[in-house]
Amino acid sequence: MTMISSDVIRGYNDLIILSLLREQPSYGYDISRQIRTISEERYIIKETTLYSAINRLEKQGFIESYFAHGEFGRVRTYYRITAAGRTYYREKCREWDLTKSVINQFIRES
Amino acid sequence: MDAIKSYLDNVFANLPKTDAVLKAKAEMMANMEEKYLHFKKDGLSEHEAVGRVIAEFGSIDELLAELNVAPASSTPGTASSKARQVSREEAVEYVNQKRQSGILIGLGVFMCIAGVAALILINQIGFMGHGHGQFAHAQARPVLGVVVLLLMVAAAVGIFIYAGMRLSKFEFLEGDFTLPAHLQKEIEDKKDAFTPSFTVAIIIGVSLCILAPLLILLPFLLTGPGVLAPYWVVAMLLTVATAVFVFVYAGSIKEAYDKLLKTGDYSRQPDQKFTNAVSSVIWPLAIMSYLLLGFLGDYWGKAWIIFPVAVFLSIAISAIAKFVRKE
Repeated sequence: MTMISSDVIRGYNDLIILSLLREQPSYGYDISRQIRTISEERYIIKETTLYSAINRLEKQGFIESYFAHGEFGRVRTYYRITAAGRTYYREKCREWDLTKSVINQFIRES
Repeated sequence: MDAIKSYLDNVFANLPKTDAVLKAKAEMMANMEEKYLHFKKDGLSEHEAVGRVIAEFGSIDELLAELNVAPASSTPGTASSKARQVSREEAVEYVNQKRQSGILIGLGVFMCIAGVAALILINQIGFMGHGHGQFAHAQARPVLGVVVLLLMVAAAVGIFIYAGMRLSKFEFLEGDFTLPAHLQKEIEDKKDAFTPSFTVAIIIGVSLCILAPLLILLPFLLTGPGVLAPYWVVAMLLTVATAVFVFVYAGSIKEAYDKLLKTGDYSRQPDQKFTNAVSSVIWPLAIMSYLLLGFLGDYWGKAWIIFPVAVFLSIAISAIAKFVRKE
């Protein structure tokens, strides 16, 4: 099983995080856990990458944070997607479709 | 878990403590903690869990770029160029040296007080023999007592100088110095581990200080001023000397930790200086009065009363000084 390299996926961390938050609000560890599970452990996001992406998205107003009690009464910082975030997500999806089709036109494995 | 915390402390040690940086650290600590607990629940060992969490930390440079923090200060010698970094070996050796010098200085002080006790003891034997008409012999006793006292004080001074010299290579701790985060943590743990011993030492010392005056008062109340009274003075002085030894020894170790952690109880310092100043006036005065009364008035049999008085005076004055300062 090969793992994806952080360099290749760099531009898509924002997209991945937004896609998860579109489903439901979440907190730091849960986001990284979901990425690990959904990617079947082929992509494990680093702590610094996750925090940088979340911090960037929040500054751009695509997500917003709030405090809430989780299990065992611990207070966590939760994040939810904003309306601007949803719009941005759709733009990024179109960009990914474009990227995918362009790259695919060059890739011939055999 | 501690390993993860000290790892993060270390990574963030040289970064500016801005709100954004502290927020990032707290948030990442929370995430890593939950990840660690999850790994443990999945059956990983402590070691494996910590290892994986740290392996998945990533690169601090990425975070610094995002937070617009210059990574300059993470290279040693820029932000903290003036402050000397203390190594683990130095810190450990400093604490060891302070422990040893605590024993030495405590011993020196003990010898000074024991010297006075020896002076009284020798004179007392002389006084008791005085009645048998050996005048010349009896006069030689106080001189012998003074010689013993002076020898013991001289030896004590030698010990003080030696202890000071051994600590002199740690003079840089008087200036600006820094501890690496993990070392800071380690020393804090050691200090915490030492605290119960320190408390016990203080309790023993204080108990001895309370016991000391009782050694004079109780025999006096029970049997009246008997011929044995001077021996009780000797016992009292040795009790005080033991208490002082305990204070000096335990205090020296605590001082070492406080100095390294810069947590010194500086409010206590002026009290200590005042008490020392009072002692350094009272004791030579007491010894001089004792010798003068003895040699000039031949009051060897009664003059020892000066020493319990001196002990009471020292304790009372330092207690009043402490009280006044607190008010």
